[in-house]
Amino acid sequence: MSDLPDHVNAQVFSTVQRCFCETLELDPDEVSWDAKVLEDLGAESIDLLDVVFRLESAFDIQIPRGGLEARARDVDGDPGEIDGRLTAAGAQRLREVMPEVPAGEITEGMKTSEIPMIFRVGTFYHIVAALVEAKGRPLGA
Amino acid sequence: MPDAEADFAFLVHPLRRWQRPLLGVRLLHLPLFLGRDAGIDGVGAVARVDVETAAGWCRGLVVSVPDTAERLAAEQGRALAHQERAAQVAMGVGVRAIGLGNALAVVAGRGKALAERTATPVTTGNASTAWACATITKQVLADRGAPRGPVGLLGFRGTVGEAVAATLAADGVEVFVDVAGRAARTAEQLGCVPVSLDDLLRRPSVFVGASTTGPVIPAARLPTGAILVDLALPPTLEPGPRPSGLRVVAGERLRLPGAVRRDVWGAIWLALARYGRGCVFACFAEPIAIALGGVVPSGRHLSVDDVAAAGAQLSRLGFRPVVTD
Repeated sequence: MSDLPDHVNAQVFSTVQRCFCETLELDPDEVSWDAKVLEDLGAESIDLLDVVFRLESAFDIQIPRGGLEARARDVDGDPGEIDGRLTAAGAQRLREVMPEVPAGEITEGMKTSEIPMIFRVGTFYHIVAALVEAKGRPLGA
Repeated sequence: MPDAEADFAFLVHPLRRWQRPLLGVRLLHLPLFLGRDAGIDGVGAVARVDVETAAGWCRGLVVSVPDTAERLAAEQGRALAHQERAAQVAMGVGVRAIGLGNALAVVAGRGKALAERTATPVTTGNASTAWACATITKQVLADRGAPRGPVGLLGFRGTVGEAVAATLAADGVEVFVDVAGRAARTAEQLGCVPVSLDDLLRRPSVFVGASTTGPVIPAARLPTGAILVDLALPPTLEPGPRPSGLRVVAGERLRLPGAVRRDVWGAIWLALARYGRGCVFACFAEPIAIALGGVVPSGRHLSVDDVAAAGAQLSRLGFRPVVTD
């Protein structure tokens, strides 16, 4: 497994990892922090729905559908995307909320429908961490 | 009539928003009728559909939840609560198997969460669907005089797509799939050929659409005279111009083994389900097979043997895959 970034709570990541393992019938060492969910883990969109359900149950949170794509939109008055493609501001915003994805993979003009292709396991950790903290709960509690 | 005993239940949801008022009439539920939010009391038995098989009659109860697919996917905790309530309704009339229709088969852990909460077997129908699709595809190939293919399969990453590809490959059919990475390695292990989407659309003239999320390619990208065996809902092809001679065949339709007995609402439901006269989809037939003593195949990955077992139990009951538009 690749090393976890310093800011990552290992206990929370372990739970995220378990959700992927159960959904995709994989071993934990296959579900690394920087594994691409679709390409490296062989997942498809329904698997993501399954992972989301397991994460919601495990952390008692509700993950909004299309949450990440939505976070790229409406940045300081910029719509973030036009005709299904990221604007420069939208791409920059997405780089900020998806630090686990190499910046070069998120470009102006990228189709928003292709955003799931760059999801990493770490992407889901960040979604969970943000929602848990928004509920006022410390990570790992 | 819904209070009478039943052998199997099939859990459904409105496929379109306009079907919710109809459901409201059936259940005498005012918020549903008015198109408003409906809570757990919007779950109820809506129809009876009894099916005559080679092993005798199997009495079916159709139970509906009030939410459309979009809401089921967006609020899976609520979807599970509604599934549980629907299962309670079904078990109250003694069913021995519960089938999950449409989006109910993919939310809340693909039925696993419900299965963990009920004593009655729960099935998504994936194995039977894969068997029906593989059998129909082989019939299409035989009719074309090319029993060994090739076939281009879209949607290999999904449970059913992978199982159809594996089953066809195990029968000696050349199967192209458009996947990369881990899925490509899995495809090779199953005897399939991973290629780019461009190559997949160029080489064969028979295709299988097994994507789980609806339109994936413009119809115009298929070659002239192509046949698409389509499982996907929404359909595989995007709206738009179609190549001449394109034929789209239903991917999971089974000819019923015998008569059907249904109430008025059962007739309406069968019409809305668009199974076709004298037919059902394989996902509806699987809980029948389980209620009559069959096994419940499950899991993210179905083996060729799982698919064959599902096919054998449906065949014994007299269900036959049928090639129809």
